[in-house]
Amino acid sequence: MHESFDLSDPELREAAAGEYALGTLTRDERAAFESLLAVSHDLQRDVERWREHLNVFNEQLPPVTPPAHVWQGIAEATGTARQPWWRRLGLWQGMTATAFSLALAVTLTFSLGHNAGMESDYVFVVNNSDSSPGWIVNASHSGEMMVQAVRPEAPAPGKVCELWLMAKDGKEPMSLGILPHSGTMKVEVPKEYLAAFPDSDLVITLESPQGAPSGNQMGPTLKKGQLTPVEGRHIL
Amino acid sequence: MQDSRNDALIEYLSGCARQDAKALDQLYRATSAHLYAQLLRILRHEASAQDCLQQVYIRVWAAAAQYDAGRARPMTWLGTMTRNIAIDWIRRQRPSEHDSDELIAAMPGRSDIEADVDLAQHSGELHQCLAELNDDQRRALELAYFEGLTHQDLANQLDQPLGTVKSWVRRGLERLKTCMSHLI
Repeated sequence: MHESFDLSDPELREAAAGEYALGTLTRDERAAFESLLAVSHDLQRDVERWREHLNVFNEQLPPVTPPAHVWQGIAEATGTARQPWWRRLGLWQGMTATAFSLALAVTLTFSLGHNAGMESDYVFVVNNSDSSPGWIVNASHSGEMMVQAVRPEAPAPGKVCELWLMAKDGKEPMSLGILPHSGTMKVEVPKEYLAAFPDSDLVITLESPQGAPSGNQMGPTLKKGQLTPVEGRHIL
Repeated sequence: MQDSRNDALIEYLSGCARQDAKALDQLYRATSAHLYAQLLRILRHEASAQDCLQQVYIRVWAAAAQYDAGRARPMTWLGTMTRNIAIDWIRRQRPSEHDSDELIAAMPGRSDIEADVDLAQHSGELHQCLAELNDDQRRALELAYFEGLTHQDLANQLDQPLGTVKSWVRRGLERLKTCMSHLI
């Protein structure tokens, strides 16, 4: 630790607050400072004052209007977009990829049943690696499915993501199509898969652009999950 | 003028705390160009700046209730959050295959962005308190502030002894504080 880093001296303590706000303290200095910061309201005010001072660096920058899609992403992620119900995802942020079923329960507290032409009885959410929603899959008892691209991560160059229905009765996995990077995709579950489909796993694999040759020659699995019934929508 | 702008932003943040969608929209319209400029300066990469800008407003939506107008001006609170998100982003990139130097070198439009930033900083519109810093002090403080550099990082980047860089930072902060305190 630097010899002049003396937090018992008011002047040096105030100077340290400036370096803390600036971010130049070493790890040890920072730890010592934060232990005092946690209990000192005076020091907290010093840091706040320094942040105000340092904000002049930001004020120098000429404003740059961000592209429109940035707001679209924010509105979708916060659930403030004026869009169909399945795109209202305000409570999704911060949830982990493995917690999609919990996230589902939260989302289902939104008004259901107004989904423009399709009865949604089941839903499956495909989260990105940062836990933000990539796609939402809605499905009806009758086997109608709609995949909505929210903000999917781009797959590796030259690759696509393919959605599969994995029946548990030994049938060959059924391709439901290449997941769209934007917009929606409608799929009909074939009749022979209909009886078992609500209990089937949904799997997403990484494939070359033409998709996997068959259900027995799928690429690596990226995500796996199950449709969750919309009934019991007020679980939380 | 500044006070009325602050009041409006405080009202928008208060609306966000109540989960008022219109307030988020208004806050975004009023502040996004400033925070985006800040992110471009820190990250120097448009796509990354756009991703981080989304994170900023998503976090604001979740954390607006924590904003205390008695402790920070709205733009300072938003700017601090923006800076933290951007510097976290840079630090997350460093150990990965996308080394930050490589990333910055590969960025599209980098020179344009830097030119814009440089233009702003040398156009005679410099904040009067930044104008009171000498070039070395201002450069050291800017690098620390925008790029999250420690003293040692600064010494390496500026190719100067550690003690010299520490002195620039310390004296620069002192001058900045003295000048800013007179303005309040």
